[in-house]
Amino acid sequence: MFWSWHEFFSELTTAGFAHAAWATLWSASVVEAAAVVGGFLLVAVGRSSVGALRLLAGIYVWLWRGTPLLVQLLIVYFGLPQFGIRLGVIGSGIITLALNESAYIAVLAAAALRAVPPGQTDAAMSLGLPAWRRFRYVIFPQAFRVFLPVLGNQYNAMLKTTSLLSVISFSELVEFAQSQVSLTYQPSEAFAVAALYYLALTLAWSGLQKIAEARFATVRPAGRRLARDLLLPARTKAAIT
Amino acid sequence: MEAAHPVISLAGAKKAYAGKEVLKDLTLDFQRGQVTVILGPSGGGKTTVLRAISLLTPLDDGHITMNGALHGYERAGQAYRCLPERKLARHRRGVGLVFQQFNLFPHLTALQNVTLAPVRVAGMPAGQAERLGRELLDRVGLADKAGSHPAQLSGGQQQRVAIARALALQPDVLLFDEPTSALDPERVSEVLDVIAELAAGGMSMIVVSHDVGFARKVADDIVFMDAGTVIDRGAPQYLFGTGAHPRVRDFLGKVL
Amino acid sequence: MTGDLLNALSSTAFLRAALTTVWLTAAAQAVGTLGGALLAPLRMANNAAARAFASCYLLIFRGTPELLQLIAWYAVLPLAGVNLNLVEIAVIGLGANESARMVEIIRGALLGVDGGQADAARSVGLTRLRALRHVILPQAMPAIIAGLGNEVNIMFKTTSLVSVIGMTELLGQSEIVAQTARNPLGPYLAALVYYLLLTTIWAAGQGLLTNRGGDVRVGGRSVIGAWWNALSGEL
Repeated sequence: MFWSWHEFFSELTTAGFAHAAWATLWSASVVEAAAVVGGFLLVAVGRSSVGALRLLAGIYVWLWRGTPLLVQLLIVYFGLPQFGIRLGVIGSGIITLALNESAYIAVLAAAALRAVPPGQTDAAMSLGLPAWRRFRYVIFPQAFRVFLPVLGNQYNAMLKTTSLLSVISFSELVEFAQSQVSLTYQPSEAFAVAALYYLALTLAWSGLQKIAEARFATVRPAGRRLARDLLLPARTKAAIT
Repeated sequence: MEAAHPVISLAGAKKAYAGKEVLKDLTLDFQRGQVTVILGPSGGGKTTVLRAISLLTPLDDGHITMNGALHGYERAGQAYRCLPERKLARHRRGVGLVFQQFNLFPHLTALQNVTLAPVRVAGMPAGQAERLGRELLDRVGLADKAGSHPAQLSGGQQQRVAIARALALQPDVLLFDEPTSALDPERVSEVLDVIAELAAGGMSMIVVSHDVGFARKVADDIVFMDAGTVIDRGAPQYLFGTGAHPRVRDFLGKVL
Repeated sequence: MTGDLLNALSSTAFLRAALTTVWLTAAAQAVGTLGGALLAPLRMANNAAARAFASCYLLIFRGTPELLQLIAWYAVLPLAGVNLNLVEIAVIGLGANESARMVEIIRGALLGVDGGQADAARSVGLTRLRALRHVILPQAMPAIIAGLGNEVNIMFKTTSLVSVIGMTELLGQSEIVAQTARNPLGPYLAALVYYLLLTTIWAAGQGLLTNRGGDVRVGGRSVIGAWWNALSGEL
């Protein structure tokens, strides 16, 4: 049967779904947090004066962004055990997603740094600030303000990306929905409930983002360089993944 | 009376960008307590001179001294070379630079813009820095704007904050790169008044400007530069008079 | 393992699977672009119902994971009496999602055009539609094409998801081989290599159309690129 409201409400009130939604939430959070650390590290290495280090960072980004996440997951979960590296479902899942996301965060963070007008570096230099202090007090604060909304969008996407973990049997929303279907043979209702949970999560996060953006109204760069593209609404930036 | 060292001196300065020579074997002295205005057509090397003196741009050849001592350069055999970036930060403190585009730090208040360097470069205690900052802002007429962010200030106000910021480390010499070019006409005088006041107070200043009226009023000495060299130099009466180099009279004729 | 890897790399089955990935990418992207082009006007229409429909569509297809959508299309369509083969489901599933993404890109590109242009167009009497067609859209095209280029790059990787509903593209093929191989790593790495080849070649092609400053040159005319141009560059 295509649709049964009875079945739908039965699924909606299944506790397991709520637990699965929680798994989606916490795994996305852990992955994104780890990826920020990893991504920043990559950017630091990518700006190193040692050419070999820069090359390594570049290769890392090329590999992890140039291949599908699903393949990466399967390699880590099914392939690595051959070398004695058994990370388990949760370990493999979280680590792979984090390693993958780090590459994307690195590119976004580097772009945010490039977005700070060069005049800022000039001004900081003219005051005699040495390189690290320039970065800490002038460059980084401004780059971070540009980076934060972008990070918010990445997190929104990550909530959905965790769905890939279902392929290695990590119990999040998609995996749970599929296991429900195998019990009830009613796909529409189970998937609809999963979809609703995802919508709830992503809408809630978008809402939080909007509130945060309104609260901390971006300090616009003084002077002419008010680049419109720096202030594009968060929605359109979500197109970049 | 013994001759004092020039506050800033360029010797044999050469600089090229992408094959194009911007400074051609330039030797130039700036005297303490004087206001020197550098005039000339765009691309003549004026901004490069300022960037070289403030050690933002290294010279390809030649060197710079401040009060007789090497400033940001070291001897390398018979020639000189610019110090590596790590060591330059310390030397930059002696020179204040005010930019055409202000370049205020947008994430800091006016007061924080002024106190950042004293605290993070000179190691001044925060309380003392704040007092200094408020005093400087008062001097440029913006005591009531201490807590405002650059985005809340007009162009003229931003530029005055930029001047206060440049003064915070008590530099030996203040450089201005077209300080009023990015301002609306009504805002120009408030900035020029501040500059004139500083000049009257005996501050050594080098100003790149094409505001000829300002040069005539405030300059002690005017340098006319074109194509990377000094064409002529002298007091305003001389440079604006009939005795000046023909190219100078040509330029002034077009501008005035 | 190396033996498996080399075998896989040189097998015609893998090559065929790679080609499947390529045309699936093209097909899905074509459907998505067409869908996006049709939905975008609805999103900005004066008609409230049209806007509501477009917004709902975007909410559903951007707010839920692509994998869930693919699995749902696969499992639910037959129940509704619609019987399509795997390829058709894959193209529909990927295309429907991509349509939503393209709407965002098109909208972003249009918003990125300087506001003064719209003013100027209206000041000479152009209607909203004509202004859009003759003034705004042409200026938004470079950004749309740049965005499209990025989407193709992403689509190459997204097609790997259809292996979950049983289609034999690159990942699907490597899974088939992995079942019987001594070491599953070999065939998976082979798939990795193919994907890397595809995305790298495509990115190189993108690079030819975009210079380092982030400007997009289309047909020789250089126009300042949008925010995502900067992102498609390297570290």
